Amino acid sequence: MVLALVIGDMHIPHRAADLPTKFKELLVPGKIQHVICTGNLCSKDALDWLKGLCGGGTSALHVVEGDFDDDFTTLPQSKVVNIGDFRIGVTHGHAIVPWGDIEALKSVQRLMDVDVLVTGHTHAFAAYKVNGDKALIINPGSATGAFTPLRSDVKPSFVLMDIEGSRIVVYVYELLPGDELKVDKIVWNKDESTS
Amino acid sequence: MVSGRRGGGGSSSSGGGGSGGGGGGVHEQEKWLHSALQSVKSHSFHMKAALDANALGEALRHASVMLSELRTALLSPGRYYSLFLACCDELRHLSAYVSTLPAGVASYGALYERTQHCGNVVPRLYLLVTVGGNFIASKEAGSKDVLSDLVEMCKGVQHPAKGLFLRSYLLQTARDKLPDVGSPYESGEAGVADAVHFLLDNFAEMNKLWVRMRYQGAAEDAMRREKERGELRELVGKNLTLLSELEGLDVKMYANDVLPKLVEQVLACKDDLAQAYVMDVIVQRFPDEYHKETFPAFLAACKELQPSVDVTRCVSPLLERLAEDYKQAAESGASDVGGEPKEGDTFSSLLTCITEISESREDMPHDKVCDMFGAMMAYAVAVHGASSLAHVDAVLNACHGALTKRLTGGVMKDRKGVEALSRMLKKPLQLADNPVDAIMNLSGLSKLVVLLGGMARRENALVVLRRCVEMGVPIANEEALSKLLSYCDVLLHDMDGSPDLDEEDFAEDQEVVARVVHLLHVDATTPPKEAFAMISTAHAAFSKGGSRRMRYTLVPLAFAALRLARRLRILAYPQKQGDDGEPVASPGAEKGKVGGVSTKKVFGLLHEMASAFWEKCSDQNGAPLALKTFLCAGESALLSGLGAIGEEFLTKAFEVYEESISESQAQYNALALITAALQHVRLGLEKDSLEALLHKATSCSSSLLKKRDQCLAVLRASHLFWQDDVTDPRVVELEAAVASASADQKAEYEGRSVPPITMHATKDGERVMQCLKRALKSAKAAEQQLAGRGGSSSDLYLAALQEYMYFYGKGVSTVNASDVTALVELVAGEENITASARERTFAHIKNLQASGEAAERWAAVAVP
Repeated sequence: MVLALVIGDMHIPHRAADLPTKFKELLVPGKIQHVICTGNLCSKDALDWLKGLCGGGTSALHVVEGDFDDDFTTLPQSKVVNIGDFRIGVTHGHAIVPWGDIEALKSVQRLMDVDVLVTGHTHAFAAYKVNGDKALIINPGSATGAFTPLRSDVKPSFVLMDIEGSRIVVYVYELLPGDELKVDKIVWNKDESTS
Repeated sequence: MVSGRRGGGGSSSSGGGGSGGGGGGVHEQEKWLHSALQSVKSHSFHMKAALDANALGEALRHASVMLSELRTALLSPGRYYSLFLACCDELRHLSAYVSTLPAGVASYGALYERTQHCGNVVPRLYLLVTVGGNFIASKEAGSKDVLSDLVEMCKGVQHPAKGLFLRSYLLQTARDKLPDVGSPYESGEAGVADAVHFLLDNFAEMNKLWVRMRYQGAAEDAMRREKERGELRELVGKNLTLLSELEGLDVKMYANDVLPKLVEQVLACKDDLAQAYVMDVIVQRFPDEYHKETFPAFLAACKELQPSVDVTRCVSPLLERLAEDYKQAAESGASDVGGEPKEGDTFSSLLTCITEISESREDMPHDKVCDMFGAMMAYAVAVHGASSLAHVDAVLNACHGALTKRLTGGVMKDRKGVEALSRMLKKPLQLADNPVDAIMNLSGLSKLVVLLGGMARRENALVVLRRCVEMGVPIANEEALSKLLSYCDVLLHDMDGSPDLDEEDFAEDQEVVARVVHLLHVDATTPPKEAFAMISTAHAAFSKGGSRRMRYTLVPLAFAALRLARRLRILAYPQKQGDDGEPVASPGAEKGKVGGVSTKKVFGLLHEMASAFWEKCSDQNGAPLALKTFLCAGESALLSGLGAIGEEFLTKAFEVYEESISESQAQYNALALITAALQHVRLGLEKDSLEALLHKATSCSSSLLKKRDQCLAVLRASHLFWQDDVTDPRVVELEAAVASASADQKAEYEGRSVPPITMHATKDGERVMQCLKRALKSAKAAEQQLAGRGGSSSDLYLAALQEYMYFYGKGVSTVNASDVTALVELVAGEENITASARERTFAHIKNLQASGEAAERWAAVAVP
């Protein structure tokens, strides 16, 4: 079993002062083997926090560049990571047109030749099981619930993926108004043909 | 037998001129002490034998010889003390013997008289004190008379150390024979006032001796002498202890007799050690209720102390004592109305005293000034608790006055002073509920922080801002923001003495400032007018920061403005009044105003910020930021119904792209953003304007430098001409805003409706196909470019295939099955395409053919 954190679009300090305290309390170094970040950290501080989560190199950090990341560091536009039986692709998604469009995302998933495509940009959690193609498309949303011109109901969210064999269990952590933590679970098996 | 060793012994009674105690090395000193102790032992033996034989005269003679050892001037004070203790021990036998009137002695008066005939002054006075004690105990004479005689007689020894010990013996003997209230020695003629006078007189004499000790002996020994003098201070202090223990002493007597006399002596001696010690003992020994009555006199005395005396060491403990006392009184309920302090009076007179002390001591170092006012502040807090802000502010302002007088313009330079002031500033920040409240309510803080030099001022500002961010302190109005920003101005622009920071620290500072912007809740319940005022104020402040700062600080501010723009947009929609009411237009909406704010002005600010990134931050790679800001603001303006402004912003984005983004990767990235943003625009643009923008995007895409980039950019641009039908984005925005609004905000948003308009999704199959073909051409050109160099770009065909499939799947009539099949064949034949990616694509088509609504449409595509 491998645990991967999928997180992104923090926009600190552009659009948020900090991560929600509840998330910071949940996310501590030690249990996570991979950190996959969709970008738009927007500061060294946020990047350092992610590095800290990796426990000083005991786990792997995979970060790509968001549209507001160009100022503080150089990051790749996209990245492919092999975890267990899966090829996982990550890219921020601001250059995938139309934004957040599932068919456009599927195109990218095939082009990148990945089983799991992770993108961000929309600041809304989304998960699509594309079972005919044995693919999973995930958007962890914005970990800070950062403002976006694209929508007016952003909730802070991130995702944990528990990867084992041909199965991925996706845990979605969302912070509802009133600081209430909601956790959802989605199970996906790439060898199951049912949708 | 000992006279040969006793240097200068004969002059002990005349005092003053001797060489002072403590000559010789440690070894010699020990030898001298040992031999003196031996002598004491031997003579006391004879004394005791004489007492046993009732031979009083003989005993007195031996005692006198024994006490002659105390005439030595050779011993250091520590060793002299050992000798003194040994003698006192032996004198107890004599004292016990004369506690009953010895046979053959007519009276204590006679014995007292007789004792005065002993030879040397030192032994004589020890004996006289011993007999005097018994004289008093016998009540043959009044305690008052004997004590005043003894205190006078002791003047016979003027050698400092010897005199101090002698008078110490006098105190020891007299302590239980004072005519105190309730004491058996109190009488009609002698009362506590006489006890007070005795102790004050003795104190005055001892203090003089102690001070004189400083001037005895060679100058090079001054350091050692001061140390030794320090060791003897408690002998002097004992007088004060006994004074404070007098049963009969009351506030009145303390205020009228004791304190004035003590102060008089202390000031007259002009000795810093004595002054510091005695003032300290006064604070420590006497009870709080005395201090409460007398602190003006005490503090007035502090003002007069030697310049080298650290006044704060007596003032601060006094303030702490008084503070503690008030605190306890408050805790015990303070039901006792009589004891309630006259707070205002006490506070202001105290502060006046403190201020005068600082004024009278021009060379008091900055750190001491800060510490003293700091103690005063702690006092104010202890006494007044939660309601102390006004008092604390008075202290801060007084401290500011004191410091500016010393600084005569400019900032504090000395490290200790800077540290003390930094320390002082931090305390009141924690006093209020939060730093913003503290800065709002304490005018002195903002004045004082200016006195800090660059680095310390920066650190202080960071502490304030970080704390605000950590606590999530909402900044509720323009005034609060304005004060907070001016308090932290060292972070906001270059100034004289700005700290010199490396790039990383500089960035960190500016990111802290950036975070503060999120404390302005511009899209929450803050009135729109206030929200706009805050953004304007921050904008004015940040705009002075220069390009290095603006690239950090203006970004969050631009997003704050976009938040406000969204809120104003929603508030402009008509709202139902009550459940059944008709929607009513927002007041002022017809003039483009919501809640007193002109939406156009918000976009005006956004224009200024985007332009600042572009024009003023070119050295900070500001162009991409400008482009992104123009794009975000452009679409927002369109949603707000400001077509012309929206068009202007989007056009500006192109200008930035064309004029200021030159590196090919940056161009590619920027164009992707422009294309994606334009594709997202659904309403608000005139047909011609939209056409012009779309044309520009496609032509820029096809003129990128690298063929590969051209291909991918044009593929992306193909989406500009095919939009899905969607709900009016304003409706979506409003509904989502209502659904996620906080309880407070719901009322503001609920019941509103978006005025309907007709939306036209762009659906132009011809243009889509033009783009796709154009992309294929670029792919081919790219391949030819690379072919000679052993590279490959055949993955571009796979990318193009995805887009063909996309539009085919959307039912775009210009994209035919044969077009897709042709590209599938091309891709199938390309060796350099990653096989698995190709397989995924083909498998995807097969899946589409296998099932679903579009199975039939996809069946027309041939896949190997």
